[in-house]
Formats: sequence, C-alpha cells, structure tokens
Amino acid sequence: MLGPGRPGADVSRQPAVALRVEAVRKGFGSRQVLRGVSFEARAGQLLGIVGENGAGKTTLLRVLSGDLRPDGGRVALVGTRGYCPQHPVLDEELTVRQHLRLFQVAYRLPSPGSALRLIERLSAADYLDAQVKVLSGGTLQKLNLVLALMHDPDVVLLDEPYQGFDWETYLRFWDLAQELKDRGRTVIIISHLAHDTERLDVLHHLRDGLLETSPPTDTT
Amino acid sequence: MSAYLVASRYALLAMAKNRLAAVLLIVFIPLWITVAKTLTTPKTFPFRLRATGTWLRAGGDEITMISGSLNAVSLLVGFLMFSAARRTRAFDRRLTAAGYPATALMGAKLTTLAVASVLVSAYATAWMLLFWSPLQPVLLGVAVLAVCLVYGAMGMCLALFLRGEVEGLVTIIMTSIIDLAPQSPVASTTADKPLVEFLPSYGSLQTSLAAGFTRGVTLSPLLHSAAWLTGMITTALVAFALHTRVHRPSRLRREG
Repeated sequence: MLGPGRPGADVSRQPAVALRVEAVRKGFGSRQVLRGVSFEARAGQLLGIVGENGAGKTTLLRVLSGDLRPDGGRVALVGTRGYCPQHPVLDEELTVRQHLRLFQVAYRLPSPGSALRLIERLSAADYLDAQVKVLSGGTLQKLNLVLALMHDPDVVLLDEPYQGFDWETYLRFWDLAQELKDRGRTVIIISHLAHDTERLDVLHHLRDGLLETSPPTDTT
Repeated sequence: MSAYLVASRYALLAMAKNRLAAVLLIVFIPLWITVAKTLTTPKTFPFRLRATGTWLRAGGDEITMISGSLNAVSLLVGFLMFSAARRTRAFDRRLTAAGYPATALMGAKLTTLAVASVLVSAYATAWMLLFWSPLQPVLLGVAVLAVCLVYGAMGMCLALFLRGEVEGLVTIIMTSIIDLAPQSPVASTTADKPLVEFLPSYGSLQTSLAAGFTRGVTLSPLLHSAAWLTGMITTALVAFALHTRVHRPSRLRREG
C-alpha cells in the first residue's frame, strides 16, 4: 500500500476529470515544440503518451509538472502531483535514506513509512545507506521513481519511468501502476516505446507538437 | 527537525565529502604559507597603507605570506561553494517543486558558507601564526574570514552562469590573481590608484596589513568586504529564488 485508500470509484458513472490540458503551446527560440496540446485524464486512468525522439514528450511532461511555463494554454488538475523526471535528479553526495528524509520534509509526511515500503517493493532496501554516486543506473531510477510516488499524489507524471529496470522490477513497476489506478489515481506515462500499450487505458501519440488520440486499446 | 536543520545538516555532510577541497585545505594552504615565508626575501621595505594613509615597513616574506594566504583561502572557499551550488542546482529545483521551503534551502546555503569560511580562515590563520607574530592576530583572523566569505559567495554566484567544475575553478583562480596581484604592497608600494578600493579582496588585504604591522584597529576597509558580500549573496539568493520557481497549475474542482 502506498497510503490511505480513497472511496472506490462509482462504476455507474464516469470518473472525475483529474487533469485537464487545454491548447498548451511551448517553444524554444524559433522552434515550436508543442503547438496546442489538449487532453483530459480521469481519476483511475492509466494514460500513455508515445512519440518519436524529439517529439516533445518530455517538454509536455515538464509543462504538466510545473517545471516549464507554457507559452500559451492552460493546465488544471485536482489535488497533488508527483513527477518522475526522465533522468534521475538527485544529489550524488547524499544517501538514499537522506533523499527520502528530504522529500519527507518537502511533502510534509509524518513518517518515511510509505517511501520505505516502496523502496522495499522495488528491491532497493539494501542500498538505503549507500551514496547515490555509487548506485547503478537502475537503482538510481528506482529512487527517482520513489521520490515521485512516496506522497501518494493524485496525478502521477512519469517520464520513461522504467528505463534501466531489470525484468522483475519492470513487472513490479506495472503492478504499482495498476495499484495506483485501482485506488483512483491518475497515471500519465511517457514512453518512446509502444510495447506497453496494452497496459494503458488511453494512448496518445505526440506528433509534430500535437496529440493524436488512438482508439482505446483492447485490454483483454 | 525543521526543514532548515535537515537541509543544513545534509549540506554540511555533503561538503565534508569534497575530497579535492579537503586535500587543498590540508596540503595547499600550509604549502603556500611555508613557501611564501621561507623562499621570499625577508628584506624590509616601505609601503603606504591606503586605508589609513600611513607609511609602514614590513618584510617582503611577511607581505607575500599575507597575500598568498588570502589567495589560497579565496580559491578554496570559492571552489567549495561553487562546487556545492553547481552540484545541487537541479536537485534544489526538484526539492522546492516538491514543497521544500526555498527559504530553508537558502538558509542552509548561507550556513554552509559561514561554516566553511570560519573553518578555513581559522586553519589558515593558525598556520600563519606558526611563522609570524602579527601585532593584532584576532584582526588578522577577521580579515581572512572576510575574504573567505566574499569568495564563497562569489563561488555561489558563478555556479549560476558556469556549468563545468573546471570552468568554475579556472574563473575563481583568475579572479583571485587579478584581484590580489595589483594591490600587493610588493607590486604597488604607494597604492595610489583609487580603483584598487573596488577589488573584492581590498578590505581583507588592507585589514591584514593593518593587523600585522599596526596597533590601530582599522575597520573601515572591511566595509568594502561587507559591500561585496552583500552584493554577491543578494545576487545568489535572488537567482536561486528565480531558478526554483514552480509554475502552479490551476485548481480543478473535484467533481462529486
């Protein structure tokens, strides 16, 4: 468990919109990366955004996370958000446990319990007192992910979250994502690969700075 | 434990792990002081202390040692603070976006600057006192502390513009040389160019010379150091606040 559960979704009606993106534009110099991206994500939805390298996926997620200000358009969401950047953003001189402590303060959590449980689930408990600079790429990514999830946010923004994971951890990641979805959280996952698409509820393709929605995938 | 205490504790722990800075502190500072004191001429010659306008006599070895010590501590604290600010640049942004109070992180940075400056200046002053008996050793310590603070804050500012560790180190070395060389009494006995008063280490060098060779307490040059320190810290903190700004989304009303 990541944290306290919420009342289950009422299946008789459409879950509430948790994230609304309206005509978001972002450019760098003369290059327009996002040219009016709009979409909605609902509570309990796993939404994927795929696109080729350089399509603007990371720029879109940085706008959604508040890291970048859009040139135009609007982002609105319910509750809290958790952001897992594409490349681990950590302090190489600190240990894993020290990172958890800092983010416990940042998220104002009374205890590090949820973070420790996530670390345990991702098989990284042996590295709690290791300095980040000696960790492998996969373990860095586990910590990067835990820092985004430990406060049990309403909207989870994940930028290629499983890069560097071994197969077991990759499967555990999807179990975690499914758990978040079951508890009514909204999970946005960015990937340049399309082979996970059967696990998603909604799939968008980012192409030329615009989103193209795929028909809902068959989740049999 | 408050956000400030947690951030300060970890910032100090991380700084203590900077091995290059530790080696420079333990080896470089005593080496510089020893070389300056033993290899340069002890012959005395007159120079004018610009801060008071009085003419003094001092040995070339002592003047070189003072100037060399200020140079060494500036490089060390400047590099230490540059290195720390550069390392945590992206991480600080992530932490504040997650909700960590920016003021606590700023407080931790200033604490690190103060602790590093006190430790390095006390160590360098102690080494100087092994070779030499200045007339006012406490004032000498204050002068060394002032240059540590100014260059430490300068290191924090440089981390805003320079990305690589080598770029930062070279810039700090060049700045310190350009700063100290023209105002050394060995190079300029009359110190008659008013522009020297605008150099970052002017306050520390004048105060060190006054501490070494006079009995009068001359604090006015330290106002120059205070001005530099205030300017550098303000720039670094404003830039930090701008860098860690998060663009908050609109709130979506929870639907029933």
